[in-house]
Amino acid sequence: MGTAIHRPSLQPLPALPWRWLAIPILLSLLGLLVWAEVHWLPDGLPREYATRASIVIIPPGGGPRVEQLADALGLPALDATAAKPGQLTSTVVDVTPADNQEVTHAEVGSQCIELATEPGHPQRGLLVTVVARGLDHSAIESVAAAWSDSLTARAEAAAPGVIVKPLPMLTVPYQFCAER
Amino acid sequence: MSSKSARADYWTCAVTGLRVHEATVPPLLVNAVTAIGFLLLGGLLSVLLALTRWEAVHLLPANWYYVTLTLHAWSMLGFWMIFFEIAILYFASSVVLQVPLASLRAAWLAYVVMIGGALLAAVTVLVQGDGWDQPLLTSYAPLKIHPLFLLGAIIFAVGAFVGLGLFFATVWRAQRADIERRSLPLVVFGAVVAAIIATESLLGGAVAYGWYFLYTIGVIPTIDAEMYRVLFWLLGHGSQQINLAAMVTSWYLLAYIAVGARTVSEKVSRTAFIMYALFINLGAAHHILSDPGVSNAWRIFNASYAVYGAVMASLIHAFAIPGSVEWALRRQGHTGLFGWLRNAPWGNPAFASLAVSLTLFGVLGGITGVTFGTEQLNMMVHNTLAIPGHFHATVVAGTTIAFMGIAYQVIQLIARRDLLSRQLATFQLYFYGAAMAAVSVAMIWLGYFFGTPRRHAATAALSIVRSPLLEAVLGIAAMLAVVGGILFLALAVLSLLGGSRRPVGPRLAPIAGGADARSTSTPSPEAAPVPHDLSGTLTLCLIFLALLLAIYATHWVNLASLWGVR
Repeated sequence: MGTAIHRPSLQPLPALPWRWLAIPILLSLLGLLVWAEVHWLPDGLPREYATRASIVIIPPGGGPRVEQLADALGLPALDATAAKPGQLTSTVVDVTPADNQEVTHAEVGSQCIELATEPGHPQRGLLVTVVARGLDHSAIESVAAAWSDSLTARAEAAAPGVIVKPLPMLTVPYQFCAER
Repeated sequence: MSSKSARADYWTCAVTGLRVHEATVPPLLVNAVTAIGFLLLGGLLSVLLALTRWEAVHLLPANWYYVTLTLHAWSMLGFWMIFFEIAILYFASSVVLQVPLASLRAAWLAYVVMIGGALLAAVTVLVQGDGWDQPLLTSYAPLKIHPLFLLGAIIFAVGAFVGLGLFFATVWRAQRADIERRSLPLVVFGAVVAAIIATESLLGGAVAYGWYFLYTIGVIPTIDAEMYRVLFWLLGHGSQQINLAAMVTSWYLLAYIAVGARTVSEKVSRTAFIMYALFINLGAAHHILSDPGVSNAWRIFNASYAVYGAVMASLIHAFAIPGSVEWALRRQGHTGLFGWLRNAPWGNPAFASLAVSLTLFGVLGGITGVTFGTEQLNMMVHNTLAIPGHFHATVVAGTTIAFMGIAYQVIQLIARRDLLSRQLATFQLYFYGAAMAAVSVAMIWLGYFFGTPRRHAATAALSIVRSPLLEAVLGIAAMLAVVGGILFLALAVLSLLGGSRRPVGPRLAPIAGGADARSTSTPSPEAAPVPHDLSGTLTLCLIFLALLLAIYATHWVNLASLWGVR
């Protein structure tokens, strides 16, 4: 009772010599793509690692001002290059052992911060950050750790009574200095 | 030889047979040329940006990087696109429907207001000084944005509204004048949908920027940052959906011009356009997938369910347009699964722009759009360079290349000048497409595999993993793309100034063979045309779907490994 529907669009695929070869080739290419997306691209492309260590240095009451302390520690001068209060001032420093070819770049930045230790009487300190970059993750980690240890020792020698602690250990709220 | 048609103010296009109203041509061309000027500006600025993101070069200091990024974003995503879309709307209404623009004064008013607003915004960004924040494209409240920038953007939107109103008025008058025409031609229909999306987007933008403007000048004391972002993205993403609808419309037009292709099913293609109008702007929600101020249900509905409606529309067009080309070429006698594709006019700029734009938009932009817009997968790439990589694939490799193809046709058909070199024009499209594909892939991989942040002036100072190799690819590819862009501009301007004058008169070329039948190879006479045999397109689409599924699946695998799900 129904009329057969003529569908001219549904033509059989034309025979091609590579017709059956095309499907495995396509599937192989898709498999290659999946492998590249999951393994080669995330892990295989050359990459440069970075590590960062931040240290807070709080000079003792009656001790040197943060600017003097930064100067004494050979840190980037707070006032020299900063365009705005609290802005990171940084410089490229040589913190790399001469025989370490895996570390390509290390940069130290310092910022003036105010810690809310007492209401209405913020205490000023230095937030010092070292960023080391290189092709070997463990090498740059050790460089950053060695530089952090060295800075801690120099700070304690430069200003007896100074408080030095890694940023994650800081429990007091802080903000960047509003004026210098 | 030059045979004017019955009415003195019309001339007849020798290729398409369309009657072109002479007075339409100046505002159409001025909008198109202005758009190309902003394309040049944005393109040149992109070199500075790419050479800054290439940390080995690191060209610009932070403040100039953000000035350059703002001007680049607004020149490319705003001014180049909207000016050219206004030109397309005038073409789709006045030229395709063969009527005068409803008001020439309105056309010039729209142009003057738009260019005034664009210049005010651009100059403000340049001279505002360090006391103000750079708006970039994402001028989020409560950033300290200069009120003159916001005013410039509002004025630009008002001018675009005038242009949109003129388009609707022209279409309405044409329909009233031709009572026998039951529905609009598909190209005009697509342009109407683009104009509807544009109206919605510009309204959202005008409200958001008007609100922000009142806040910056102190008339209102506070602004709801989350609601502002919802409204802003109606403009921010909606403006790119105008591009999408205009680009798809351009694809149908280019397919018609290149091989005389007509869509296999008008109803299906029109339905897909209507789905854009209904769903595409809801997809703007994926920009605020990480915002705390909107509910999870809101995010999932908009960024998933609603977007699937828009993606379905794109998939329909992705089948319909190559299908129409296949159908047209098979009617010329080309057989075999891909015989029609081998014999397609690859040396014709219209076909080249269609092929490059459609492929790159679908494979690079479309697949990343679907994956990055999924709420869970978005968390891997949110605010990374992968997102600009996605929209460089859609807006530049997709829309810009389609518009370049249209610009070459406007020069030939509307300005009636021969291109100085068709071979060079074709080469330019392939070259630019290859360079932009490399730019997009480098950005996508930097963001996806390395987490490289977007909108950042100095990633070397961050403790993130970097890929100097991909950064170098991005920098070099961007420079090559700019060379391709300059080649386009040189060809367009020199052809307009020095190209041979094309004749007007009755239709010269048989449209069945396309507007450029000469570049297609002659089929063998015994090759019988096969009606509606779209097996080649179907095969291509199945390969595309397999690619989409494979990449979508790998993103879930990578997400699971990122979070340690066992």
